[in-house]
Amino acid sequence: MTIQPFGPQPFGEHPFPRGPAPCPRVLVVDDTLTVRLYCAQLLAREGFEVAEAVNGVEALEQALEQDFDLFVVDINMARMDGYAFLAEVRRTPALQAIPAVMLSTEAAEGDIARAYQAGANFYLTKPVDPERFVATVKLMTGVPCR
Amino acid sequence: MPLKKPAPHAPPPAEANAEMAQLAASFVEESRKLLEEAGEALLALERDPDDGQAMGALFRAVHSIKGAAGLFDLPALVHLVHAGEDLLGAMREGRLRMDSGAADALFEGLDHVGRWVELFAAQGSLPPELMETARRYAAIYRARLAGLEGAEGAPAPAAAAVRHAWADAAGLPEGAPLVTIEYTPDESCFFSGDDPLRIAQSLPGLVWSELAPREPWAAPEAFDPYVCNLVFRLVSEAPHSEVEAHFRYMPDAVTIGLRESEPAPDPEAPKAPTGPLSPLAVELIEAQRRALAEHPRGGAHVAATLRNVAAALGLPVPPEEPAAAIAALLATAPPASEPEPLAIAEGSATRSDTPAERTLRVEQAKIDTLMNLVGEMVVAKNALPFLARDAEARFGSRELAREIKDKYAVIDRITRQLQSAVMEVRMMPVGDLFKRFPRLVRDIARKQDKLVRLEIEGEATEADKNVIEALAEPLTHILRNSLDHGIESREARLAAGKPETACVRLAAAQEADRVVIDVTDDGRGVDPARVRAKAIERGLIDEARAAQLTDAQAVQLVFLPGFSTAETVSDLSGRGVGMDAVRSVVERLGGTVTLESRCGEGTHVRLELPLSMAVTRVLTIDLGGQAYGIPIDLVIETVKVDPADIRRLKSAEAIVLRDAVIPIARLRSLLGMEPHPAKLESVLILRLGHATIGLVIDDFGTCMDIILKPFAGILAHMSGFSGSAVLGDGRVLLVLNLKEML
Repeated sequence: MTIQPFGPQPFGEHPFPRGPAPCPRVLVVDDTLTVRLYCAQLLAREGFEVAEAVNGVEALEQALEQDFDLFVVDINMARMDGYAFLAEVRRTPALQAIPAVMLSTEAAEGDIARAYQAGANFYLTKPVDPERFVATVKLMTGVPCR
Repeated sequence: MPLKKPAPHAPPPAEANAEMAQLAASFVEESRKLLEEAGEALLALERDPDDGQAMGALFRAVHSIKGAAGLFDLPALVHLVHAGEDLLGAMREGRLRMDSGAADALFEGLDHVGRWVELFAAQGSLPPELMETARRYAAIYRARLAGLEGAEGAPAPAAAAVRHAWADAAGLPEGAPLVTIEYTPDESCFFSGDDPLRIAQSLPGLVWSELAPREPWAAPEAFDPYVCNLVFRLVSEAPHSEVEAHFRYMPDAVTIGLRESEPAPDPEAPKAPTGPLSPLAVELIEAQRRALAEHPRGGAHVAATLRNVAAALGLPVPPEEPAAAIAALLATAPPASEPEPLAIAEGSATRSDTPAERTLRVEQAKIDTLMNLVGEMVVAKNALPFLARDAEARFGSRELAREIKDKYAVIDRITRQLQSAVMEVRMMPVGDLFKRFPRLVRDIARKQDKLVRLEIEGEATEADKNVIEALAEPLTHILRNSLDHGIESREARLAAGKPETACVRLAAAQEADRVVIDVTDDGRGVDPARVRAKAIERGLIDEARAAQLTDAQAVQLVFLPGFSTAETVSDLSGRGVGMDAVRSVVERLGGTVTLESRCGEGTHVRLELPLSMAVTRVLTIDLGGQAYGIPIDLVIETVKVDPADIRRLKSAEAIVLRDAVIPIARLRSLLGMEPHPAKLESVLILRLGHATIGLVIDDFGTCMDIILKPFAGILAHMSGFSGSAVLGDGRVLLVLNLKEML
């Protein structure tokens, strides 16, 4: 399986016939290219489809255009940070039921509380253990773990 | 009781390596950018500690570096950056103020991180000794924080020579050396991404383990599941260093002791606590309880998450009502399980349908190849005019000649467009170069206790990457000169009635096809008398000539090789390279440098450079049947002169052109060739620096674009030539370096 985290093809034009269950789609929102790349690689390996956005504004634009099964959101971002993005998601009827996990280096209890207040479903601290991250994403998207 | 190591589900090694390399490259590149941003923000903060935007930018940059570095095995780097981030966090929250001492410490820290990133880029890893440096800086940062919070930042307990009492009590028999570890995870470790159980289980060489509460368990109603109250007692047969490496990210939470004995395999050794659900699943479900409590109207996403978790675990889908669902899920008791790796759906591939950046990263070598090919194309197309001439002269076909010329015109146009398109790719804003100077100026000014404001203008001006890169050194030198010799001490400035804070201006602008960079300061200027004296002392010029020079001319003496006005060789400049080095770099780039100075008012250095140095336009000339090239930008005009009009002035010759006397030189005699009398002398009027000079040649040729290749090997020292180029018809064109010859 080749990894093409930055592949230019849109979701619709899948080069292979889709299996019976479509792979969950995850939107990774982080302003750090390395983190996006890292998440994309980990999830791609597990068969997830990954889209990326560098800030909340871009993420909202994409979220409104396509269906996602999970948002992985950083806190510190320019233009629109993770809190604002989640608050916006939870206000938007079309998006409010999509689970979201915050992935941030902030480890203070205050930050975590703010994340849940904004509408996060889970909180992971960077640097995240890859297995823990993948397992979390699987659980939150309903991918069988056994 | 060797615990089972969790089986990692990694892709095949080759693929993983490629991924890792890609990740590392991205980390390095990104960190460089972030470090640059951090440096800029720190400078801004030092000027104005209340600059909230700079504080935010600095914190974000440092924070991002930490986040990304955590993906690699870079404990020292993470340690240092983490401590720096804590300090910045306190500053961002207004608990601590930025001062120049803190800025110094942070600058040094950033410098170390920068070096480590480069080291990581080169070697793929960092030597463990760096942890020492990291600890030192972390201690400095923590000390500043401690000054704030009282007695924080106590030194970490010495790791060696610890003897754990429980190890004796465990009844371990004498035998092979063993390492005993007491691992006390931080109370808030569940929130910092640590997984203490996994860390303990994956300890290399683990032979015995015990898990105990740190303090007696609280009563159920007071129990706080978010606080880690555990202590791990572990015994390993792995070497001490290996154990230390395992716990390198949490040195404060671990004590490591040595024991010269082997533990008795304890059949009653406590097992890892495993709940009915995997710990992560329980954590997730618990998190939903919290999400529901903290987010008003949080039903939909909590319910969706719970349904997904249930589906993932193969449990019956819980009811819609989230609170009930949480309870139902937590009550379910399927057999304990680690989340198992999922069979990868065949043929599924990942794509990001909206690339985050619309730019393409390309290696410079590829662009260089493209540029070289375009260059060869430029040269190859030059063959067509020769072909056209041949068609007419040798084969008598004027029509064919005209058609070739037509086609040449088309190819010429396309080639030019191609050339400018490729050149555009290579264009880089000078701002990328200027970025480093605020830091340089700050450091020098601080060392010399001067107050200097650096003003930068025209950062968006673009020039070829090679030109920009080659300019770094000369500009650094000019700025150093300015700060070292130009800017007076604070007292001297006040005494001279100038503002205490000096101003250095660095401005770039594009003028026609040249980039002009001005470095202006309001310092004391260059003293012509001192320059004259120094030049005489150095034997660069004799006294009589020095006296003849105007002040403006005398100042130009600083460009002579071996000249340096610095009385003492300072730490900062005057390392034996002077303005002559600046001039030679600039001239090699095909540019010029001029210096103007007003004594007491300041100095102005101007660099003029070509936008690109890839293609040179030359005028070919004929001399004894051989073609030579002369850079076209030196040529003012070409004239034919009657030999009778050449006046002899003692040993020199000159012509009068439009009432101006222009000295002339004969290229034949410069090259040691026999004179060649002609009915009309062909004279090139050239501009060399400030002088105008006529050069007598045999005949004029034509203008053409060439790719100038500097001489290499034994010819490299021929200063009379700047290089060679291959012409369209295969002949070699030597390009004259007239500045050296005349």
